[in-house]
Amino acid sequence: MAKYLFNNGKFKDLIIPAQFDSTKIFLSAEVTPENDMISIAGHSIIQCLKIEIADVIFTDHPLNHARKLYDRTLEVEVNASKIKTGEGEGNGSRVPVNCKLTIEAGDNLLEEFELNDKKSPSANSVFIFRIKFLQEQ
Amino acid sequence: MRVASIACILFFLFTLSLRAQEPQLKQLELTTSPAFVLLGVHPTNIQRPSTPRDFAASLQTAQVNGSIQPNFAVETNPFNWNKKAPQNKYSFIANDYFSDKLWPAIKKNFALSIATSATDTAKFGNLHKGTGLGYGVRVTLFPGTVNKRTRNDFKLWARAEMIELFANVLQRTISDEAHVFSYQDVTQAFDISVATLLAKKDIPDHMKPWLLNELTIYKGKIAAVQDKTELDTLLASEMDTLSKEKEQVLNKINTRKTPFARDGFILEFAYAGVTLMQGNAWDSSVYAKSGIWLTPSYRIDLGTDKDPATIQSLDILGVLRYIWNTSRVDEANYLDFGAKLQFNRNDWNVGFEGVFRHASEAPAGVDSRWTYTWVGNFSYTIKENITLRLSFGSQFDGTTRSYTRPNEILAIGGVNFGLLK
Repeated sequence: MAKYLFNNGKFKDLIIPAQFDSTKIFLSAEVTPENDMISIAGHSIIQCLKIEIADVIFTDHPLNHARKLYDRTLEVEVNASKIKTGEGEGNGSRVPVNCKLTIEAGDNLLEEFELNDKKSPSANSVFIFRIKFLQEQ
Repeated sequence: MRVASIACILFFLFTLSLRAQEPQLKQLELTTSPAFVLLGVHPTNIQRPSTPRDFAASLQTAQVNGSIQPNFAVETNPFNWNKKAPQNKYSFIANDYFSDKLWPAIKKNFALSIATSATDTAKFGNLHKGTGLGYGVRVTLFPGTVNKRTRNDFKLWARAEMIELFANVLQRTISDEAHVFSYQDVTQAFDISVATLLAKKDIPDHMKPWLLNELTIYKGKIAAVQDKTELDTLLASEMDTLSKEKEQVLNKINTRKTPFARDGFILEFAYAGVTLMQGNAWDSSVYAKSGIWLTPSYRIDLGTDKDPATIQSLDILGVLRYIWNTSRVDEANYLDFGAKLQFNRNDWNVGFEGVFRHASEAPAGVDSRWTYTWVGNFSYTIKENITLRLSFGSQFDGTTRSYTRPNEILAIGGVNFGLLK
């Protein structure tokens, strides 16, 4: 297993514009392989206020209203297993994957964070994003 | 002539597509297409059922009226059209691969086919020469099972994945220094893991009761540890072991060429009909024959993990078929039954089949109602979408009008071109 930490594991500040103060914040994560030879299995752990478990690929995971998240931290661990479902000679574990975490306020995109395992693709890659929500001053 | 023109156009399109590399080209043979089988242009009678593509077209040569002619077939599975949702298209949906249920198997292995060929006068009795239009449907009744090695490895992955999740959740719960550890933490982590297991789509439903049992056993193991530091160390060590286990079994699956290939017992039902356009004219079209058949097959996986690049298997196949002829083709209907043995290795396969045919009645002066065919065949995939086929054997004695003739020798070599989506 190879672990990949966004921002070298440090918390990345995410300033939420004041206009979204009463808007619900949503998370989406998607792991995309470089080719369709493999599919992604696994799980994600979202640690924000409490532990929540989601599919490895999830969309529109609700957190809370923005004002309730200020100064709180979020950690998303995406544990992606590569499973070769196509037909081919190569080792499917070596297919690089890209993990994208999207944070939205309602339907408005706030930020996208990306990690990939191109440096050393393996059968099971873990992507960790640490974010701190901040109120716009 | 019409068939030749179609063939030329298709060959041109095929070359164009090779240049553009779109659509994606992969190994393809529409050998099991019912429309082809009933036209009688395929040298072999028994083929192992294969999973139909969204859309596939095939151009292959066959012996018609003693000369080699191209034939064309298309096959499609309408259930696959627009199947993939744009979102989550890379997520592994386990039931799609492991399910042995009838309805998913039917949806996945349902195919409509159309084929054309110049008609062989020996096979179509008193009808005039022309173009035969075959149309058919095939459906898999028993889909077989994902091969044992992948099933076992996937089971190990699923166990490691769930126990790792349980350990991970528990470790996160107790990681806060201020947190006072209690058995309630174990129960909570267990409940979260069970709820996740039940909702997970990347683990097949039939595996979930066993995993629930495994989680319960693990919960019991954890419950015996009462010291927080000891538990933390244990969880870290377990997670490390489980992670290596996952890596190891995934590597085994991912190095195989076709990890989700199915083996064991597969049963396919097929129907096909043929309309013959005599003299290649629409207004001279006549319905000629139709048939239904069952193709049971059993595949034994002979591959090993020591050499994952080598794929080899042995197929034992059978066929039971009934063909209704119009009187202008033959007064008799046919009952066919036969068997085949085929060895497959990487890009080539070699097989031998024998099929007996019994006619429902015989015209005056014909002694026997029986005829037979035997064919040895060799097939080699030159390129992903180009297959070389060689067949040698004897064909059925045409219709009952010619049952007293010795069996016609069949020797045919050809190339099969395919396009698919």
